[in-house]
Amino acid sequence: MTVPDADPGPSDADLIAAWSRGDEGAAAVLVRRHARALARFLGAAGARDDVDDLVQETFYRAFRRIDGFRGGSSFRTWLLTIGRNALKDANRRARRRPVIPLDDREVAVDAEAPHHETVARDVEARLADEVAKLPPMQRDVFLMRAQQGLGYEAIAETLETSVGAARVHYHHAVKRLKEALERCA
Amino acid sequence: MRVNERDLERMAARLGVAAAERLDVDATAEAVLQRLRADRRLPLRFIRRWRPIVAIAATLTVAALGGGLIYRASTGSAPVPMVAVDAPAVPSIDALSTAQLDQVLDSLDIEAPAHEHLAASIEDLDASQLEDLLQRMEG
Repeated sequence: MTVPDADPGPSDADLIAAWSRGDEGAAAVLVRRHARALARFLGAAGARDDVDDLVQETFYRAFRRIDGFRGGSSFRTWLLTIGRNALKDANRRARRRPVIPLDDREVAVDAEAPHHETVARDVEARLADEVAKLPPMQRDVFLMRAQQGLGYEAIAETLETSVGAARVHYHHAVKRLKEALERCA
Repeated sequence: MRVNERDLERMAARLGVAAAERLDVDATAEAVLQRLRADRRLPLRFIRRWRPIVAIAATLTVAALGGGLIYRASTGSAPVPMVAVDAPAVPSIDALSTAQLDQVLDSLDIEAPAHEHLAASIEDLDASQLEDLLQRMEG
């Protein structure tokens, strides 16, 4: 038996048009629709405690220059581009502030969790660290494909590179991450 | 531990999940809208704050323009027409009288060559000879 899809609601394009006419409700729907995916991307790309602020900043920038959205790519990939720039700006500002050692970062530890879950979480934490160490282009291509599920064409358009270059970046990232995880195991 | 690409992608898909779960989506939407509303209010706030100064400046401008118009109407001064100013016309040497030609030669402060035919009188020269003479004197 097939379950009919829930009503997906108005399309992003319709909501963007409504926001352009001043409909705040449309903007709120767009935020609710895309904020978590954006937060996942930013969290994995190296944002730490400031993910909320970065998500807010990204939407703020996006809505302010909504006329710049041509509709050639999806609204989400456009958001990822803006979020990526917002993260870069935040990192630049952070470099001017005192550095907090990595060991002081919050690490969720559940003493009651079964051993295999603990191991899985440990591997994921290691992966997060290794992803953060990748060159920015490799990291973003890897996350856009492996985490956001974007195709190479969308990635290339978002990151303003060629499809071939995006593929190469992805394979380099995968190779480096596999090697790093196998080395640590 | 062997890690294949599929495992890696599966793990990568979970990256950032904790950050996403912590996010209060409704609060984010409200905060974004508040910032956008504040942006829209900014020009109005600027006008409200500077309204007295803008009003004074506008009054002064209107008074100055009005005063100028009233003054011009009362003095009856018509607008001064634009006059094309040509370079002073240089009369042809043919139009000069003998006395004027003598003045020209005097003003050049050049001693006339002691040619016989010139020594007689300048009046004996025709126009082309005079022109020739002047050109030679001017070098």
